Amino acid sequence: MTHGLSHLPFCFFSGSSPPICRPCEVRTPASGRGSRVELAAVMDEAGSSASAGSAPRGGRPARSGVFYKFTQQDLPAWKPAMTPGYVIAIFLIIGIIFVPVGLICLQASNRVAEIVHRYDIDCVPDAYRSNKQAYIKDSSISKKCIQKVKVQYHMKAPIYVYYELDNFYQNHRRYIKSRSDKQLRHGLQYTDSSCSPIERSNGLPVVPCGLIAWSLFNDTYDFTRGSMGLMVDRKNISWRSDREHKYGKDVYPFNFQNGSLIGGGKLDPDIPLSNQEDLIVWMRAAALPQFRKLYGVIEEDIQADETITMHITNNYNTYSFGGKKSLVLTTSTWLGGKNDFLGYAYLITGSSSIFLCILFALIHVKIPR
Amino acid sequence: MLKEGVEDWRRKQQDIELNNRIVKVHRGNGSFEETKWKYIKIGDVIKVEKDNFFPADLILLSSNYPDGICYVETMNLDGETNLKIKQALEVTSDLQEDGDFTNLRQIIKCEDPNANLYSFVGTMDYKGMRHPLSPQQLLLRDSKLRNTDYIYGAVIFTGHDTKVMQNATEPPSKRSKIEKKMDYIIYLLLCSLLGIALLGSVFFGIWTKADLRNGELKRWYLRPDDSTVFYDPKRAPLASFCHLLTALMLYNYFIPISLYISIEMVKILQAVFINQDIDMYDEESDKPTHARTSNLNEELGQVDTILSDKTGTLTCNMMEFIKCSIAGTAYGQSVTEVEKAMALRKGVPLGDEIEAGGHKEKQIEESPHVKGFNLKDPRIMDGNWIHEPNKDVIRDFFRLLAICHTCIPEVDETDKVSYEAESPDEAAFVIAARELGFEFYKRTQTSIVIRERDPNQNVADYQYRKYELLNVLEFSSSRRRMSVIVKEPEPEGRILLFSKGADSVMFTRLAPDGRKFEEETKRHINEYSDSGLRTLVLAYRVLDEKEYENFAEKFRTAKISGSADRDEQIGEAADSIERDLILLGATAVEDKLQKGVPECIDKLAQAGIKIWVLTGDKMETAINIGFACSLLRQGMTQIIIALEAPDIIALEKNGDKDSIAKASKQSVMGQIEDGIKQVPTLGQSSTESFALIIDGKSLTYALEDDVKFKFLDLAVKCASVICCRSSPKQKALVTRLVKHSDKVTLAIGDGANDVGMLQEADIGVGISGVEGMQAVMASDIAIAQFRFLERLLLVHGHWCYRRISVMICYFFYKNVTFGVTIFLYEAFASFSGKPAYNDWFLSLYNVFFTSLPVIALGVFDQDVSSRLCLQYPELYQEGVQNVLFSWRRILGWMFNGVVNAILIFFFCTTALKDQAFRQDGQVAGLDALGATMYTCVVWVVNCQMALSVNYFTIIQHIFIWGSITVWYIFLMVYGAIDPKYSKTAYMVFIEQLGPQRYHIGW
Repeated sequence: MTHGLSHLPFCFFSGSSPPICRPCEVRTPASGRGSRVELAAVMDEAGSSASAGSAPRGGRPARSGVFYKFTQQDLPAWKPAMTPGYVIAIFLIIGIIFVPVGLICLQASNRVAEIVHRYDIDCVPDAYRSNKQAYIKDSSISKKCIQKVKVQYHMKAPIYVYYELDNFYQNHRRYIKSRSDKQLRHGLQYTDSSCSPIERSNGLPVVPCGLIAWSLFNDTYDFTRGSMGLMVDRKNISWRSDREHKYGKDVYPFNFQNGSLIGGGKLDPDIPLSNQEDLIVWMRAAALPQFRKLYGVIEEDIQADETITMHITNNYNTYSFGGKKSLVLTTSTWLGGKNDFLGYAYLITGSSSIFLCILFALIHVKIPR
Repeated sequence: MLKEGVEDWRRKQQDIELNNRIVKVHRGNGSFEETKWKYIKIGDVIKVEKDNFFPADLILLSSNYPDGICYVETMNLDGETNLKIKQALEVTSDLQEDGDFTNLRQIIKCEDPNANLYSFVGTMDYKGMRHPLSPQQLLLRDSKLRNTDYIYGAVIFTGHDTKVMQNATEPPSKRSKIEKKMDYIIYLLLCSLLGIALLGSVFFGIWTKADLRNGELKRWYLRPDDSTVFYDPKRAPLASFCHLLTALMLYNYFIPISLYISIEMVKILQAVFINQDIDMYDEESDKPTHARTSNLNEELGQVDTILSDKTGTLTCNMMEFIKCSIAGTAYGQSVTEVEKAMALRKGVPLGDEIEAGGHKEKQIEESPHVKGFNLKDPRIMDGNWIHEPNKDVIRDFFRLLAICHTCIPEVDETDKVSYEAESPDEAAFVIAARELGFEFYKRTQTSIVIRERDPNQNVADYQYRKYELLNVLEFSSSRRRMSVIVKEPEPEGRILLFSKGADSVMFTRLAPDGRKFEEETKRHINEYSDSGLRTLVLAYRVLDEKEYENFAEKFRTAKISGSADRDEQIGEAADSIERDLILLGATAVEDKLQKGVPECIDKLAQAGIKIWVLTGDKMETAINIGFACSLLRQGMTQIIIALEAPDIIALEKNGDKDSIAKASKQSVMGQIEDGIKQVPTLGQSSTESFALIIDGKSLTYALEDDVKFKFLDLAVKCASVICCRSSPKQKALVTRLVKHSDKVTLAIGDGANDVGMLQEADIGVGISGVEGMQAVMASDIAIAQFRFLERLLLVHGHWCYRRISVMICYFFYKNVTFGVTIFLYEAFASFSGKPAYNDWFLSLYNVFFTSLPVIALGVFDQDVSSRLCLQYPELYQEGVQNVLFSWRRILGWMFNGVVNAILIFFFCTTALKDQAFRQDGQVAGLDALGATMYTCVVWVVNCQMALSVNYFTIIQHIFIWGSITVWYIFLMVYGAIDPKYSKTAYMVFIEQLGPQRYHIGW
């Protein structure tokens, strides 16, 4: 940004007309009494305390004090002037802070072991590969599917299990609005038109209503390690505030998935919504069309080179819109899951500011202003 | 809007007040009734009493004086405070009583209403005779009756037909150039808003249509088979159109509606600061600066041309008798403004100047300063003149001053005399004479009484001398002198002719034996005029009886002749007697400049502002003042455009209007073209600068459509322009002409005659001085003294311009940033119209989290302190050249906004991508991303503000960092209220990374 600065050097040396010093022409007081602070106010830039002494005349503000300075726009102020020294110093400081932070983030991200396994194609029998929709819509075909992955790194508990969907617009306006928070909390009497088009079915209200609930994700996963089963803890996968405040403890699913068109998963009508954690997780809409949602937590370590068998029921139709499905196993650190971006961003920022700092310093040494 | 409404209402109140003023109107049978102004009709005979305004244009019928004269103050018309004499026709001047109007029948024929104040033609049929009417009989509305008990007049024009109203221009609603440009930016943004909304709608339409193909559901989770019109794939174009409307609502952040409100607020606060400035507060009159409209604050920083009135604006309209040369000896030691200015320019602080200054102050403390008199010379003051060698000449000199004039004395209860003069010069003369002991005491139709103080210091001892007034040979601009013929009191009883006039005419009329001091006097006169003083030469002559008889006869016949060449005959008669004069000396009167005017003009010139002076004065006076206020300098080439060529004067005598106009125009054209040839083209640099001086008559032609651009061409090349003898309408026209060149004009004036100019100019500055309030009422900003203009423009103008332009740019920037993040998010939500942010975030963006810092910037920011602004006037050019609000700058800011938005968006989405962002394994949903992005935007936008601010007072710190804090507080409070958001509050901790990253990356 240009500051007035860029003009000033010209002015300082324009000697053609000697500038008249303004304080000199301050009007002479009509009477000699009373110290005039007005002069001080003009000259006094640093904002040193102008002494009081003149009495306020006829309603005019006294010529001293904070209020006077305020009205005269002469408050003490910090006027940062972007001298080369400052700029270099600022860049240097930023660089010095950012590079280590970046390194720490990167290191945290590197400690995370993550397995992403896409299964939406592999789980379709070869016969249906060309017409996956027919496969997924045909309820008579078994959707069971077994996949194996080899773990390369030691994974320390807790290991989080996610499903990842792609090209699924949970953030679509129609979709995201189609829910009733009141109903989720207080029960079916609060069913309202906000849930359209999944509001009523067969003349009765649907609980939980709306498109989001209706399209509940319903693939299931089981894991075995060798012959041993791996326990997946499906509790506490949702936000606690959701469970406690947004889903009613005495609201039970009702008339759900009874319509002509069945969307996603079904719910056990005997479990209150506040305990239907799958639903709660699903109901929290993702921001982007590619997203992960927590499925459960494995509370056991997995050693490197172990092979994990995944027993998948591939119920959910992503084939009609060409979405991918993946299963994700990952550990976490204080920074969350695996994401190098943050670390790199810091590193790049930090190092480029150090680079700029050096560049400016060189320029400054060569061509000092 | 509201503000303007209030102003209009006030104006209306004034109008009502005016309409309901009372005047006496003849209602038949010689009875006069009090009637409201608004009921006055053409043809009414009305009676106006002393010190009242005329309610309409009147033909003067008679006054309380037997010869039908009356005195009129025309301050509201031309800004001149002196009194003008109007005279009724002789045939009507005997209508002295109310009853005389019982059976009065007159037919007045006159011209159509027009705007020309100084011309009038008409006839009156009375008692079977036709009499010509001239401006002498015309009393204009808004002028005031003075020194006359009452007058009778016939109404000829009322209301909007009056000459004053014809000169008035509609009060315009002014908007600053920046605001006008802002409209274009809004259009631009509106277009881009439409553009991106359209883009989104097209994509939305395509995708929506694809959702349902041959009964196959693509994105089945959206239930495209069971849809409302907004998402219906079967009616995709309609859905697309509906989406367009949604999108327009969603992206409306591109159009900062709050900008208008914020600007209004900021401007009002700026105006408060301008009003509060103690350096623009006049202690003498207890008047601070008053910004009456705050619309134009930033325009003050862009002024290219100042159009200034002279009288009352540059000068105090107060003549000071400052020096004189009597019998070849120069008296008077005071230093004039011009001398001071010249000394200052040379950089030599005159030793005696400082001394004189100190001396002056001492004097002020000793004796009260006498208005109009500033002669300091112990040799002649306090009666000391008696000891001078030429004491007889000195005595005659001051007697002449006391007698040869047309002033009227007013004696108050304490026996102090004050004067009503036709011109302030004359007042200065009589005052000077009074101060030296020759007090003009009383005037009757036939005599003048002078009260002479005994030079020997006995104050109580007066000597009354009664001079018999024989003739007054009036001043005219062609004669350039005036004389009176008086008969001395006994025992001398001589008949004397006292004459005063311009040096050019006077020296040729001296008698061979009256030239004793010619050399010295001439030298003094030259010195005086070099120091910007107005000089007059005084001379007298003793007439013998016979010669006078001859003259008196000739003069009388000339006067009553009534023929067309009456004036000429009178002139000839006067000419014959005003010869063989004996030189007494010369006077030098300073047209007192207002305090600090030359310095101020100097500074403004340094800042690159052109200054034009538009005055009703004579050309000589105007030029003098030009020198005095350093508008004209020695070494400047003066280009004078005037219509004084002999052939035109000859034509005027013939009276053929068309040919006069034609010839005049030709002549003006020629002169302008000559002038253009003289002025080098802009490329060539020349050490010489040019000044253009044009008189009112020429101006009439120069302002005609086919000439005016040539005239403008010439005028803008000249450093200073002076227009003399210009009417109020012309002032406004000149202003309009200058405005054509797309430069910001500022008009400054103090009288009602400047109203048109003030309203026409981009900014009208009224001087709230001694003259009426009309100018102030019509102005946008009222200041007490001309010199405050310097601070108003160079400091406040500069600041306000900077503040407003940066503020507007910033406002667009911050809204573009916000809008683009919303748009980018849309692209990832298949343009369905789901905003990334919570509704409350959206609506509070411009209210809480980003508004206060920008307002603080608009109100408080200073790039350099006021002291530096004044010290380096060159800084002002920043505004004149509109550096800060050029398209490049504006688009740069917007580009910055777009880049910021893209950075923020991609940074946030990548950082929060699909992996867990917390140790507990939860992933970030839409609400988390929205809050994070919003946080980033708030940080970035406020940090950008911190970078733009040059002047951090505690207020800026509180606002900028406070806004960010308030966002966090809001997030937490809002989260606590609504369980939906209770958890999203604490993820922000990590996200502080965002802005910092930006900070450097940018």
